[in-house]
Amino acid sequence: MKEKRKYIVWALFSLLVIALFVFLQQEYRYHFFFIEQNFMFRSSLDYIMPHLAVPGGLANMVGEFLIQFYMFPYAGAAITTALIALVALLINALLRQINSGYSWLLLACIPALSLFFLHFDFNYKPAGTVAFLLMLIAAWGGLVIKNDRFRFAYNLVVVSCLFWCCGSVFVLYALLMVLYEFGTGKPLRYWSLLLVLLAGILGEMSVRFALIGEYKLIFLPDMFYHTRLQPKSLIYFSYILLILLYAVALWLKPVKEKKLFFKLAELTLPFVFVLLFAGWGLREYGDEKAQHVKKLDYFSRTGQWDEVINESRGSMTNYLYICYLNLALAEKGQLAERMFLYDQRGVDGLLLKWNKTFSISVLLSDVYYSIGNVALAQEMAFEASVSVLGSGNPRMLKRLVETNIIYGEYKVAGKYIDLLEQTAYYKKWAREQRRFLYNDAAVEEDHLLGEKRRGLLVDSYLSNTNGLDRDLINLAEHYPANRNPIEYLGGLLLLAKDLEGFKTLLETYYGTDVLPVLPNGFQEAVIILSEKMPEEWAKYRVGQAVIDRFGQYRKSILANKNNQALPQLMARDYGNTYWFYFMFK
Amino acid sequence: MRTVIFFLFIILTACTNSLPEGVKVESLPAVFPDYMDVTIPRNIAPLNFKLVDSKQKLRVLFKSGEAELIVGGTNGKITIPKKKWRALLEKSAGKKIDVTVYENEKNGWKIYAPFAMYVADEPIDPYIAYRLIEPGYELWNQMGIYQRDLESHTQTPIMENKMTGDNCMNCHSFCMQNPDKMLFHMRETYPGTILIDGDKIEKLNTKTDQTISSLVYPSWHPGGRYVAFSVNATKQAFHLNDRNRVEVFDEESDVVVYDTETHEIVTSPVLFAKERWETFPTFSPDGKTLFFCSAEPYPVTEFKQIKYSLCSVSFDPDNRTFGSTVDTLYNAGTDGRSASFPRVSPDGNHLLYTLSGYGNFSIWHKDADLYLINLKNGTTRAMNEVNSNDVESYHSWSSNSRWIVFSSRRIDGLYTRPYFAYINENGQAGKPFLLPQKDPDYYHRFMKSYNIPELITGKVKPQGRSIALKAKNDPGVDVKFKGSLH
Repeated sequence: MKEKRKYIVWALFSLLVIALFVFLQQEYRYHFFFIEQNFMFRSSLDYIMPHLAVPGGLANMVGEFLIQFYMFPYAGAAITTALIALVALLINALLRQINSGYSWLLLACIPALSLFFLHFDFNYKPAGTVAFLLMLIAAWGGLVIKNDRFRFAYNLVVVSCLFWCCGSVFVLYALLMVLYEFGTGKPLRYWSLLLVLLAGILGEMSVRFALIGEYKLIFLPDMFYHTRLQPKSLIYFSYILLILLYAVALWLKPVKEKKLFFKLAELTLPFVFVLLFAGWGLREYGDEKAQHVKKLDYFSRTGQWDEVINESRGSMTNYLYICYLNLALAEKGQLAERMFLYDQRGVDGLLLKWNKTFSISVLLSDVYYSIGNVALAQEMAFEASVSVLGSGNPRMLKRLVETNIIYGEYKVAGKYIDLLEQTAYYKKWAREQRRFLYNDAAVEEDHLLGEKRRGLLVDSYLSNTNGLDRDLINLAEHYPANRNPIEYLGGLLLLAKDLEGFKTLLETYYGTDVLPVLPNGFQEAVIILSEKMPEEWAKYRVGQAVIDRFGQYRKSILANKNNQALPQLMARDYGNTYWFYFMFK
Repeated sequence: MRTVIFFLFIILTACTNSLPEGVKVESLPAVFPDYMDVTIPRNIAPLNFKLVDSKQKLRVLFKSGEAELIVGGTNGKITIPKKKWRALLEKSAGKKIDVTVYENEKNGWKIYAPFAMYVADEPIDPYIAYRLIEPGYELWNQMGIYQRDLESHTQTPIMENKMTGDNCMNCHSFCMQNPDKMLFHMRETYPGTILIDGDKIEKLNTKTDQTISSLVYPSWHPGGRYVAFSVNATKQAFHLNDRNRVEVFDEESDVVVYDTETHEIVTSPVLFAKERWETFPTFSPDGKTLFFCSAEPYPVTEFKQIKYSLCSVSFDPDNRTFGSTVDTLYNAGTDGRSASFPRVSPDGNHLLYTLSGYGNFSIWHKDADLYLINLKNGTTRAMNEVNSNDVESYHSWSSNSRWIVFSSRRIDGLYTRPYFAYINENGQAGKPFLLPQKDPDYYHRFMKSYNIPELITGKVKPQGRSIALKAKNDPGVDVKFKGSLH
């Protein structure tokens, strides 16, 4: 019967693990791609040695080592599931060492899950979970040692090693070992208090000698969170829950003859509790709202522009989403043609204001790159590289390689290529870029790099000092083959409802290489500009379909002008026009 | 057993101390860093280098008279033992070391033509301090001010921003290369200026209503009581297509002098004029002259017209007053370029400054070069023996006036590295050498720039925790503006 119960527990646990993997892969797969760009593991001594030289460095390094695989399909979900499952298994092993009279495996899932929820937080370093896991392994090893003196010596060594290798978990380890010694009435239990003293001394010394900035960063799991932000209390749950479970295991006496009710409760209650806890945690910390932008970011990163566009149907109230959409349209050469088919909300949807965060810096780098403003694309890539949580940003390092090649700064490009060649996922791409170094002909022949180089202004000036529109005009005039500058400019003017500015744009550039024909969005704007002057429509060759549609639009407006639900009414049939945007947004 | 050990010893010493037979070639080896024909101090750390594009075994013979040192290397690099290197340098002070590189190629050893290293008699100050920061723009992450023992490869932090909420710290400055008397600024979180004088740490709030900013570029008066500062309204913009990448410019600036005893700022109309932009002050070693840069204002759209002259005005430290006559040592209006970072040698004989086409943030100007004024006879020359075709910018003197350290981007055009050069009494410089590292490939992977390298006569006391507590807990002393005292 006991064996049967054991199999049921393991079966339930396995079910949870599989469910976790499937859930992550189905609902959060883009999350891992998003996280990956914040960290950069390199297989070189100049990366490894500085990590090993500070407390917690080994855990950080192992964390980054694992994260590098997040770019491979399924790997993020698999690695995270494996980490959490291992944490649960080790907690179970630990608790069974203390008290084998109960089944702990399902309860062990609770602190494991509290760690799991942290992984959804963009500012959490998965190294924290790695550190927790390593601590559990060390703790299990300690409990296996039956000789009190050997165990004491082992614990002293482990506290010191964990301090250096894994950071704040060393305090948790010391507390667990003290609890164990006292809870089991071991003869050296009072000596075990030295472990806490040792932990205190190590922590104090690390702050006193400026190895660590603040006490909370060595004594608490805050070490594994963005140091400029205050983590949610969730970060402490795993520590507290583990200590609680530990104490319960020490306190609970084994029951020889368990009644059926008790046996059933022992099986079902933890499982139900785990499910409830998981449900609550996902709701509270799952950050579901951010998943959409992570999806867009992935599609953008991998050039899947149609996917970005497909995700952008319907109402959009988030400027970030709209910015991705417009970038996708621009990359497909359809910005001004199609932008008003979608829910535009103003200039910020075309060009977000820089808020000095990592993710906006990345997006703006992509946008400026698409426009052909290589200088600002490089600037944003640099800002994004500097502001990462981990050791580097491989995605933006690629951009720095590209922009430096475009500028002919081959030495710097070579430096960045060297770094990327030390990574698992990017080394192939990096190697392929070598052929461009010191080879202007190869650069100019390349479809992407060559075009960007041809788009560089000959007479440089300072970007943004004459206004962004000046930059866009100069880029458009210099290299009309790239339509994005003029379409971004026209789009900005239309979104700002600056019709005078738009009129000047048309009068200056229509019929030239810069703007030989008007895309659909601009044609619609021409009608607004000169509603009562059809000769202007002919001048700008506004299509008959556009003219006819405007005729219907106008009739609808006039027919319903006293209808309070006019915006909703018009949105249904004309929400995908500039006229609707101009009148109602 | 003893026999085995004996033969092992023979074999090992034979392997590392002997020179192989090989084919001599006339060409010089391509080494990185470029340590050929450099002049070095006798107390510098080992100048480890590599043979470019080589992964072979090496032997390198360092020979100076009777003194010699043979070093073996693998993978195209050598690591010189510190004690033996130091002993060699001591014996070679004032003389030349001939360096011969042997490379083990597939078909035997290749012996390159020897190159020289010249060992100066005069030692260099044993430490430099610098800030390490990414060579960009607005954001930062990990940042700190560090000191490097020039006699070894050891670098230790003076202050890291992890101690103070990851804030920005900059503009470290030492009084006459004294490691016990320094200041630096913190920005954003726990803002203020930290002034350290021995065991005393003081936090200053240096923004006043009369000045356009907190105190910025510092320069200590030799007496230690005063510090000259600029106040600047600084902006940054990006070139759309220019090798200079970034332009950092002032929209306004002035020069003031801070009195550390009274916590007051004094100035003069010649330093605080609205119709001019004054910046980069520095005192003469006798403390009676204040040098500074001054430009006619232009709007940002005409940034290339902003050119700074190098000027000086007398200063009376007893009364905290300034002369009314401004002398011009370099006239941007007539010569057409722009001066920045004037620094006078401690013996008062020379003034080193940076000259570039325009502007004042010359680290971003590829044409920026070092120039030297002989203050005795007033002659000025370009330091062609140290300049390169890329940026040479910030610099400082050693306490014995025989060495300078300066910032250069000559390696890759973006990442600033510190170079040292010997300057004799006549102002002639030796070929500069790059700050040596244990691994010659270090700089290739290092993603931070060395900013504001300053030579110091000893190690700065490690007190990061004390500084952090002061920055966090002390409200700071408010500095008062006294204005012009005459």
